[in-house]
Amino acid sequence: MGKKRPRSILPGFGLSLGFTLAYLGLIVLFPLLLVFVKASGLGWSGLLHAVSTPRVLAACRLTFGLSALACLLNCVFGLLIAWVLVRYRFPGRGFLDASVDLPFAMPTAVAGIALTGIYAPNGWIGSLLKPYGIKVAFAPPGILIALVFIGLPFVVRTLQPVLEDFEIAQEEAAASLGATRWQTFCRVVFPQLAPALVTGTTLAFARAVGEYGSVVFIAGNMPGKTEIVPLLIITKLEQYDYAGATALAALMLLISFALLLLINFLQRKTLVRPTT
Amino acid sequence: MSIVVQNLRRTFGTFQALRGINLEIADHQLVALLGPSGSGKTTLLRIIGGLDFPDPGQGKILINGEDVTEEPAADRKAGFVFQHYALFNHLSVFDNVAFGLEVRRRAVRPGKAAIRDRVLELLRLVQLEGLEARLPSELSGGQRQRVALARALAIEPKVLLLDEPFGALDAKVRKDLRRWLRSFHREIGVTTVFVTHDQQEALELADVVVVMNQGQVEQVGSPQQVYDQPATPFLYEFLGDVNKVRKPGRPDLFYVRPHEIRILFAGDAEAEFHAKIEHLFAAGPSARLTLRFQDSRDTLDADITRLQLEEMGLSEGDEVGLKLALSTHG
Repeated sequence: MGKKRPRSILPGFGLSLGFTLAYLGLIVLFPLLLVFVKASGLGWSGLLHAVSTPRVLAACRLTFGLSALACLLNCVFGLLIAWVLVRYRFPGRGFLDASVDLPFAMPTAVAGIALTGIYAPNGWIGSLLKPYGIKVAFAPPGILIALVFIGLPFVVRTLQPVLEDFEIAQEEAAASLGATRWQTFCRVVFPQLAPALVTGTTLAFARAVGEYGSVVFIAGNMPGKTEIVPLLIITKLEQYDYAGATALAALMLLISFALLLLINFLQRKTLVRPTT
Repeated sequence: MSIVVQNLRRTFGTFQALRGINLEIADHQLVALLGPSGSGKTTLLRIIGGLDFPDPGQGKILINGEDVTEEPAADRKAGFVFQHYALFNHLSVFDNVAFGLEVRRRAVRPGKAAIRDRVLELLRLVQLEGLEARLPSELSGGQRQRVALARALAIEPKVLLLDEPFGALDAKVRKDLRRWLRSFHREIGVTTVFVTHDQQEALELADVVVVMNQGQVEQVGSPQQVYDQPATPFLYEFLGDVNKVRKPGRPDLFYVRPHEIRILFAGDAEAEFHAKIEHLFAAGPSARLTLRFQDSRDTLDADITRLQLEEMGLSEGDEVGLKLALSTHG
């Protein structure tokens, strides 16, 4: 005899949860699990040995460091762009709004080649910077620009709906209570945008860490200097070093997952989500 | 403090929201801005509060005799309460009420303890003691509105401005809060202006009713004045039920309220007109009769007491005599 469950107005919980688990398992978790299984063939010492070479460590520092920097830049300027697109009406707004999605839609290799063309020492902007000894393409700043490029839409698109729903009356209330524009932004608007901003920035970060296509063209790919982890993995694969490649992949997965969990945790702890 | 509005005009594109408003509101008064939607009442309130501005050079706002027309909202010290509360969703009730004190310049900002005392005192005043740690989302509509009121009062406003303060509440809460606001106003005595499109609310609550229509002030007066002596046909139709009828055999229209009609027996010598009871509705404190004049297509509604209905033993189809009360205007 089965126990009677309380009736729910939303039917199909069992079915939909089962489907969700099966789907996520098949599409996301199973392939990633395989990475760990493959990597475990090396044994602990083998794994540690594979990922502790100076070349790997340098690539990790570069990838995670530049990804963090890129997502912080996107956090600031993405907020600014979302603000302008939502709050002001001006000719060309629709065009600008649509262009925000381009980094989503374009093959990343195309973006990489275009950016390289502009920032290379003989490109439009690269040639202007060259006399001052500033090297962008084939150097870390170039990688940064590529990562900013591909991360921008995540911040803008998560902020836009939240900004659009924001009650102007709250800002008017703040003003009538004597707050300056700056106080109103810092105390009233920003705290209510913050959850969406953190989400968007986290997504941009995750995307940057895994980015390959646009970076390889502009990076120069010098081992230990401008070589990112995804490229290193491909290099190892091309050299038939499957164990080394999976070890690296497992390491990246672990670091990314740990960081995402940490951000999620911080977000829950520090931010109160408005419920209305 | 007193509020004076002089020759105020406000245009949005081609729409004239306010067409030369003149208004004087004395200290301590509770004033209703009453009008149909689109009459400009909210625009006027927002301009008084500094949330909107008149067309350049088109009018002045004086608060306590001081010209504040160019002053932004932040400097005006006008407590504003919004129709949908506009509470800060991420802040507790306490922090919402404390906001206006916390944002002051350091030189004029009260200390932590003083702010705390003031906030708790205000929450007591609006009967929300013990809820200071709640978030706005954890409150009912009526409670949110009172938080908004406490928040506006925290800055010791020169005037209190309420935009459709009960518009988003259900009928029962509305009525309670209305009664509460009247006694509350008596207690604190701040000059208060509230916008409403509900005539009953305006008449019941206000000392002075300002009736607006199409960007102009139609009449200013006590509730009794505007109800009993409407200045224009618009006011007659807007305020309370009214019959617009032609007297039998006469071309001119006249207005008469349902309670201003005396119902007599058909044979009564005092009867001015005769009519037939077409419909009778008696489920309520009073009975409503729908009457049709003899030899006419016009009908009019009349209210009489249930007692009179029983005493006269009236029923549908009966002939009655009518006498119209004196205050009827032609």
